Amino acid sequence: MERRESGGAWRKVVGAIPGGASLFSIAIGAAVLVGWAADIAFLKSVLPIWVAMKANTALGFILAGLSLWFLRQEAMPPVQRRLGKSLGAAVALVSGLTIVEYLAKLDLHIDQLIFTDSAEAVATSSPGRMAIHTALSFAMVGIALRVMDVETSRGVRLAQVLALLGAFVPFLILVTYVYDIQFPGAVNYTTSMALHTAITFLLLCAGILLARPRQGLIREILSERVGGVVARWMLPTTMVALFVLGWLRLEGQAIGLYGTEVGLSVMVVSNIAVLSFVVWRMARALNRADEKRVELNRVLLQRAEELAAVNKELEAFSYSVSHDLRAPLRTLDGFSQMLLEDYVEKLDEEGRRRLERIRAASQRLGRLIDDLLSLSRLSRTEVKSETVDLSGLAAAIAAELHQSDPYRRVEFVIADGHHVQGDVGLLRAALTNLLNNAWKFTSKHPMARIEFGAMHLNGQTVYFVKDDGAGFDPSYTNKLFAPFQRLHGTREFDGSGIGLATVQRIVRRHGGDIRAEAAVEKGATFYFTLGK
Amino acid sequence: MTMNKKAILLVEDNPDDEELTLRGLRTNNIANDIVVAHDGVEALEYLFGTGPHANRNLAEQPALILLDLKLPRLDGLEVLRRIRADDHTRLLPVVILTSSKEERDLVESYQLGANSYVRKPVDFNQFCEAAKQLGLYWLVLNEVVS
Repeated sequence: MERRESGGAWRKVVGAIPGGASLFSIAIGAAVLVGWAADIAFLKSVLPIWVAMKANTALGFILAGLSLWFLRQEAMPPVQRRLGKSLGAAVALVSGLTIVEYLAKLDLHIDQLIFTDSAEAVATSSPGRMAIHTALSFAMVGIALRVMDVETSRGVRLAQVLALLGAFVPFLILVTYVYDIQFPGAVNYTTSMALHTAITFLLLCAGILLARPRQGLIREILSERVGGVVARWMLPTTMVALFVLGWLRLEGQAIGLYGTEVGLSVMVVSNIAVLSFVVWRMARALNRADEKRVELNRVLLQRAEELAAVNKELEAFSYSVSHDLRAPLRTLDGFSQMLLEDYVEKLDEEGRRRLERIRAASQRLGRLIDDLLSLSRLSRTEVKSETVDLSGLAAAIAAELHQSDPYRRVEFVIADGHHVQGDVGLLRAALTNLLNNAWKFTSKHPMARIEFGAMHLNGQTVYFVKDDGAGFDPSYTNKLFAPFQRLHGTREFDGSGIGLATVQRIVRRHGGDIRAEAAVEKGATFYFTLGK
Repeated sequence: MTMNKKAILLVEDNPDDEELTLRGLRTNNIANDIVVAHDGVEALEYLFGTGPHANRNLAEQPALILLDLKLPRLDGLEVLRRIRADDHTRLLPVVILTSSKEERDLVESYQLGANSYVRKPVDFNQFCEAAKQLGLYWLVLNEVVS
């Protein structure tokens, strides 16, 4: 986790491996074919005493390399991916036929299809035929490429498993080359594989593994988490250490420091030492990560407690507001009314008007307090999840609005069949606010049209409420959803400025968002989403 | 239908609200005696005939109790609990008359056996209307166990 900042560089290297491996494979295959065509021994076997790469193997590498090139990333175009898979199948077919030749002791005449093998070929069963191990490795690489994007229900990537299996023998061969040893009874065809064949196989397998870095078992190694960090440190360390130890053991044995038994014991003990060190480092890394996590958890719990306390305080506050703030308003309104009733002959027109102003103000403040309380309650109540018929809700609200003022000529257009998962009470409140707004801001027009509908945008359903009323200046959209912000004077359109804040809060509590589009006297449209 | 002539017990600590409620009831021709208790303790003393009301005839219980929730000393919910716990008062109609619209107040009131829950409107005309409806319903329409 500490290395997250430097993550970019090595990730780029890792990302380039599939492409690089495929180009390398194609190049090696082509070079060997040139070697066969021009009879250049160096290109075929690197050193004359080593086995040469067969022409079929070279062809296999070109096909496998091309296949990996077309599959090197998840986001390749479908045409290329199909081509890549077909090339993988071709590789599997050639190697499969060779295996059949070995098993059934047949000659299918595919071995010298391109070039005729020389009579003095090193370690060859029949002229031009690739080694059985090469054929097996090709089979696994070929199938791996063919099933590159197949994943079992438990998340296992067959391609990655096959790539690891296919790398086993080439890796073994590479080690024997480096240690300069031969299997007892070698040279014979069952154990021979050209050095560049082994290296190319290893690169191809690495390329297949890294072509899908976010899937299957390779994901754990490349992960940002502590496991990935530890694995990326442990794997190379262990590999290099064991490799070097094995080499030292052989060298020691070769110069007569110790015999086979002692050599084995030295090897075992040093392996144990290396693995213990690696395990210790892993334990330390995990412990540190765990300590950090425990500490973060503690801090988080503390925050949660503080938040709960603040929430409780807020609740007590709003409870007190609900009880205590309205009482004086009742006094203001009630006693003004009593004055109006009892002192009617002592008050002139202006006196009565002023008392009415006091009454209107106290009533407005009363409504404001109520709205504010319900807004604050919105953030505190739990959001239920049930299937809500938004179209039905909109239609019901529209009917209520019609009833409230039957003489207004407003056409409601409500799209049918929009259901959503959410809290029916909250969603009704949101739609009521939006449709009430549309109703209110079209009231100065003789005829109006109010629409509720939905559309799909970037895989999300976007609902909208649209009217052709007064609209507003779009440069004020940012003020629209803040509580107590009003874009129209009370004289023009009544309201407390809390409706859209309420709607926004409801929409956000459903995991969605809301925005508005409008122009002065051209109507307003409110677009909102409700979660995924 | 005859109007129940027994008293109404109004439990209200705010003098302004008291006056408004009284006026609301009076302007709607509710002629019953109105006994006012200014906190929960006073209300219980009246109902159970203790303290200053030691000599009260307990057979004469009010026809209706209008109970505020937020009260000094003993709050409305506790008063309601005691009323419902005592055999002499458990059947009396209790109407919660309060400022609060908080869900938990409503739920708790009904759970404790309130007969009705009315929120005092800020608008005095609506307030008078509420008082009128309450009087009409609880003192005229509603039949109580005598």
